[in-house]
Parts: sequence; structure tokens; C-alpha cells
Amino acid sequence: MKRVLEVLTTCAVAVCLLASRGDAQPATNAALRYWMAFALMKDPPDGRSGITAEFLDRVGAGTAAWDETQLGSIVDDNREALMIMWRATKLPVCDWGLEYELGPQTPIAHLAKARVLARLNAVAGARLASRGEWGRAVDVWLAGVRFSQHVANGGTLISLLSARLSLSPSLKSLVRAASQSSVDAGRRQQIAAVVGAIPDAGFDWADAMRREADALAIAKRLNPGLNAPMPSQAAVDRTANEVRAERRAVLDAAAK
Amino acid sequence: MNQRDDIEARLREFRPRRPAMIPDERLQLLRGPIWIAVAAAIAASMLIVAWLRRPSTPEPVAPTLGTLTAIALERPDDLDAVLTTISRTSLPDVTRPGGALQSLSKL
Repeated sequence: MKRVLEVLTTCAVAVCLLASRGDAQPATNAALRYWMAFALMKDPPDGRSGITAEFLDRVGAGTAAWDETQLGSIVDDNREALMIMWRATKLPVCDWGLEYELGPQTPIAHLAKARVLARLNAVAGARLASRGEWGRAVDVWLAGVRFSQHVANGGTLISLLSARLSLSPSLKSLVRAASQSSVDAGRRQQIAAVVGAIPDAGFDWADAMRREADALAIAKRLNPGLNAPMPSQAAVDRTANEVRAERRAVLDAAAK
Repeated sequence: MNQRDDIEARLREFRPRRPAMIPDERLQLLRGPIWIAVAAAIAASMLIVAWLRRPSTPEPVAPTLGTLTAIALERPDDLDAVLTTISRTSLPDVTRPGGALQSLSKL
């Protein structure tokens, strides 16, 4: 009888272990959701229609006035892509699966799509702000901050530099938002929590430089005649300090 | 003597006057076409200026680590424009006017 009980207990434990292994789902990769958003994204028209990327950046940064007639349809056409992006920014894992073993030929087309989606996100935030919906605008810009972290994740310097192009407008808009009386204390705490959670200089620049050195080593192995120096540490430090100041400005504004 | 001075004074009052132009029928005939030519020249110069000022289309860039890193380090001010251009050509919207579906529907 004792023997039978031992066997039954062993079987039960084994079944439980197998069942628990089956239940453990791998975390959803935000990068896959972003690619879905990229596929649905409609790039804003080029400069020939009078709406340039620079103009969209000025609107996104709040230095140019919102124009519903010109820009409303751009945001509306990208609503689905933006909503996918907003949801994906809340996922904890983002792996772009880059093939760094290819050296300089590693495809990084996602950075181009990400830059445009981030620009659309900034413009969507500006639209909400123009309507006085500062709380919702803050949510959009915070999604922009989280998105920039995902874009930079596991990347070399180019990933961080392009992610920085997306991060800075969100940080500057959050400073403006924090000065609005309609943004309450709870929302300010939310701003401080999200921005405070990102690295002091916006990204882990030292880690990116290590990856850059690895990528350069691969490139030189593939092409021994290659004469490509490492990027200037001083230039990287300068950029990192600029982002550090932008992050500090948000935290200061949120604390007032 | 006084009479002579008086005459001289009167003569000094005369001033030379430019003679009227000799009517030239050929010149009259050209007047219309000259203005048309001037207007055409102004329009042409405006077109040339507008063409020169139009935003230049950046050359296609491969979206690879080596190419984009080089641009980011050597021409950082161009990086944003290059990324924007690459985005338009990768995963293009096939339903847009002039897109692939519109072209196929004409076959």
C-alpha cells in the first residue's frame, strides 16, 4: 500500500510539474507588436504637400500651432498603429532580434519606422494638448518615453541616437505639460515615476558603446582591411549630457 | 543798346527741346511681342528659382547598421531625414494613391 502511495504521489508531482511548465507563457515581445504598428502606419506625406517632417516635429514639440485641417487626418489615419504602439509600450520585454553577426550589413530598418511612429505620437499628443486634454496628452508622451527605451533596447550607438530623436520631444512636451494647472498631482507623480525610471542620461550609453566595439570587431573580422575607428567618446558624452539635462528638467517640473 | 539787351534776354529764354521721335512702324509692331517676351523671361526665371529651392530628394540609403551608423557619426544633422526617407520606402502602404494595388487594378 505504501509503495502504491509513493508511486501515486510521484505521478501527481510529475503531472503538476508538466502542467506548470505548459502554463508558463513567454512574455509577449513588444517588438512584434511594434512591427504590426509599422505595417499599419501610414507615413505622413512628404514635403511636396507642404507638411514637412520638420513642421511635424515643431508641432509635436509645441513650437508650432496645431492645425486640425492640415494635420487631423494624419493622426486619424494612424490611429490603429498608435493604439498598438501605446499598448506595446507597457510590455516588459522588447527584443528586436537583430543579426549583429552580419556586421555592417545588419538590417536595422525598424529604426526608420520607429522614428516616424514616434513623430506621429508626438503630433497626437500635441492634438490632445490643443484641445486642453492635457491628462491624455501626458499619457501619450509617457508612451513616447517608454517607446524610446524599447527602441534603444539591446542596440548599438545608432539605436540610441535614433531613439534619442524620439525621446527628446516627449521630454520637452512633458515639461510643458507639468506647468499646466489642469495636470493634477497624481499625473505629476506618474510623470516622475516613468521618467525617473529611465537611466539618468536617458539610455545606457556605456552599454551601447560596448556593443559598438563588439560590432566593430565583427566588421573587422569580416573585412580585415576595414579602417573604421570607434565613435568619439566625447561626442557621446555630450549627447548623453544633453539628454540628462532634458530628463532633469522633466523631474524638476513634475516636482513643483 | 537797351533794345539789343532786351532781344538777347528774350533769346536766352529759349530752351532746347528734344525733338519728337520719328514714328517707326516696325518698332510699334514689336511693342506687343517685347512685353510678352519680358513676361515669359520673368516667369521662366521664377520657375528656375522655385526648382532650385525645392527640397532635394536624398539618395536612397540602405537601412543597415554600417550605413546608418556612418551617417549618424559623420552627418548627424542628416540622420532624421534619412530615417524618414527609409521609412517611406520600407513596408510601403500598398493602398495609397499610386500604390501597388492601384497599379495592379489597371492591368
